[in-house]
Amino acid sequence: MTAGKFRDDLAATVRPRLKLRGRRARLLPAGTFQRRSLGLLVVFAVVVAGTVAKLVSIQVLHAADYALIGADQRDEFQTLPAQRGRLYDRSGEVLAASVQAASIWVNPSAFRPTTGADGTEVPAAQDVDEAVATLSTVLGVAPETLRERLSGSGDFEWLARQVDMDVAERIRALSEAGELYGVGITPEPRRTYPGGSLAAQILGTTDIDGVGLGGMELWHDAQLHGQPGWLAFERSRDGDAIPSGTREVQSPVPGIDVVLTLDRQLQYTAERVAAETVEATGAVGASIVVLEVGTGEVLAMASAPTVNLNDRASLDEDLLRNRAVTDQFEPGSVQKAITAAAAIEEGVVTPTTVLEVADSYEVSGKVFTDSYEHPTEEMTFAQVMEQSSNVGTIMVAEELGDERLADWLTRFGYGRPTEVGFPGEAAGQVRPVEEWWGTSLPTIAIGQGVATTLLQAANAYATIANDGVAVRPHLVRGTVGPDGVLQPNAEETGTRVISAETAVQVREMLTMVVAGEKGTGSRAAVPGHAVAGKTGTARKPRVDGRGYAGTYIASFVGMAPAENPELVVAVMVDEPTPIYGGLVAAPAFSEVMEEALRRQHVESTLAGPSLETALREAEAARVRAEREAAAAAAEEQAAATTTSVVQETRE
Amino acid sequence: MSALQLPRRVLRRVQDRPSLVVVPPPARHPLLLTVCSLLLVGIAVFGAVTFNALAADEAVHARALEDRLRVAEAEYSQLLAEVAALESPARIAAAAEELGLVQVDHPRQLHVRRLLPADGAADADPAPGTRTDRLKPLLADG
Repeated sequence: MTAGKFRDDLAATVRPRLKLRGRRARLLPAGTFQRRSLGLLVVFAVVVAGTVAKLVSIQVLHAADYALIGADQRDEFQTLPAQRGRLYDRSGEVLAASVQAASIWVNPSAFRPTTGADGTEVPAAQDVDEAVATLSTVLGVAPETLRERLSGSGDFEWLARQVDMDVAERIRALSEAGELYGVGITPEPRRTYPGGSLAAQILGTTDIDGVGLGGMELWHDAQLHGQPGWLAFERSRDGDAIPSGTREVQSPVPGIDVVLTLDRQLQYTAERVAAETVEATGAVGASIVVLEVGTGEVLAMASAPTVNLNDRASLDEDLLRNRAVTDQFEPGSVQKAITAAAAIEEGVVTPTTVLEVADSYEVSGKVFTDSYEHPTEEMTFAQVMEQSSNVGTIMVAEELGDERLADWLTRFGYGRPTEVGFPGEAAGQVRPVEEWWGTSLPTIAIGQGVATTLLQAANAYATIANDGVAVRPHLVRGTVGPDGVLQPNAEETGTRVISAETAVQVREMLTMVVAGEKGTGSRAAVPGHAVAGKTGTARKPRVDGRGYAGTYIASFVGMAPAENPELVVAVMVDEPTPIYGGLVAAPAFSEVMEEALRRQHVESTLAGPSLETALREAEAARVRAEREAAAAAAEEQAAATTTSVVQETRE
Repeated sequence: MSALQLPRRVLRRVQDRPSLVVVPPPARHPLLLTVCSLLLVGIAVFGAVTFNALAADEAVHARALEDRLRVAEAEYSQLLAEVAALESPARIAAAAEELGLVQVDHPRQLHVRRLLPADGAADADPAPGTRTDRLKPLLADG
């Protein structure tokens, strides 16, 4: 069949049936303008339909997906870290603060060859050894460590966290100069402690991300950490912010500053004295607490040995332990002041009550002895305290009885935390009176078989110093708001434990411990001030079973001025040589108390040399020094002259 | 209803009026209209572009200020920490030791009961709510 015939047949078949808008349809002849226009129209319609379909797909069916992709490419979201609150001492000196630092990271994929989309191998941007050599010099990180991190299989590795900003600037300069590839810098705050080891155990520390791990950093973490903010903005292809683009900022809320009760200078003195005591006596450790009487404010709380908080690598959990609060010990004779207060308050004795005291005493088959041999002699109760007689104290305690002694220990705060506001505070240990056996009463009366923290012991003495009123010790004065003004904590209300008369009588007895002829605490004396206090030498219990080890804890707890105490200082030395509190802890007490009285501007109550006398002595000392210097110069001159004469004679 | 008969005086006045004529439409000036429209559009575009440029300029300026503020705050914190480190008792003791100073056994102090103007730069009696040391929080007044 020819083409012409087929067309004619088709026309004959179709033509009568087709109608278009009332007109009979007809096939356009091929190659005509109309036929080509129709073809183009069809193509155009298909293209338009395809375009519309694609538009519907993009704008309707997958609109959300494309919006997300676009936002991801365009929008930048950054977290703005909150400035962690500072820790101040009682007068606003900075103890802990956060400074701007930078962390350096690397994308290890820049240091390994990769395969491109077209299957070709893309070489590494930089040689690992070359980068290690450069980074090691700048960062001070071991080359092996850097090589390991640069050779990682992932896309992100930290190289150094929280380095100084000048180090970060050097890294940036090297990157811009094309000497480093794949290395990035992220700003990050770093916690710093300007005093280094000052108050280390009190302040505690934070982890690398600024979360409190111990001490005040942990206890007040909720106040200190603040609220991070965020920044959202549109960025250009090269990563820069588009100036006219959308930008939303949620500013970070800085943490609240916390003001401690510590006195920085006094804290330093206490730490220095504790460290010197440990060094001089070969002790395992030492702790010192300074309390302000009446307010319960802790002015200093030192533990030795200590640690530098800025040196993270050397942070030792054991050295970060605040021994004054977390460690409990048997107080020994320091406890006798509490036994005495209870006995006087109960009317069992007075300071002038005379006792017939031997140097040994048997209770329930166990013999208790005094620390030195002496014949049976009559002693007033004040002398019992002065000479720290175990026998005399036990005799009085027996008159007091188990129930009342246990009750008074509880009233003085034994067996429960002081709630000073510090993590991990120990409660001390006092057995329920039902569990006491025959030797419990005499043992506990002289400070064995009962355990306290140094802070508990100091607080019990502060109660006696405060005319019988106990005040909760605390470490925080208040917080500082954004206006820089202190918001003080509520003042502590006291609880009366013993009468003021009893407190005065106990203080007078304790004064004789320091000032009396046979007092065991004479080394605790402070020039210009009357001191009341008590020595303690306690055996340490064995850690591997019942009974006592052959090691001791020496202590001294006292107050000054004795007639109207303003300060209480407690000293505890762990395993010193010599072992006696009067020899080891009392001198440390004296040094710290002297500084504390000076810092608190407590005027001398004992008659000292007048200003004129002091100036005269100083002038005499100056003249004496000048004469000695002149004499020394004259001797040197004479020696030089002699040498010269000898040389001339030889010549 | 019959029409209201007008007074004779009024009727005479109405009859004296000239016949109403159709006013021809005002002549159009297509060129002027085009120029005005283009001018308006030009001004609008210019204003929009200018406003956008000014906004962008201010945004850049604001961000520069934010950056300066952030840097200043970081520097303040850094300086505060450095000052505290320099004032640290341990550093001062070490510096004193280097200078050959020694610790006295029992130092005596004179307590001045009232600061005099010559005693120092600090105001002896600062007004309430003011601070003498800008680096430290105001702890006296709560």
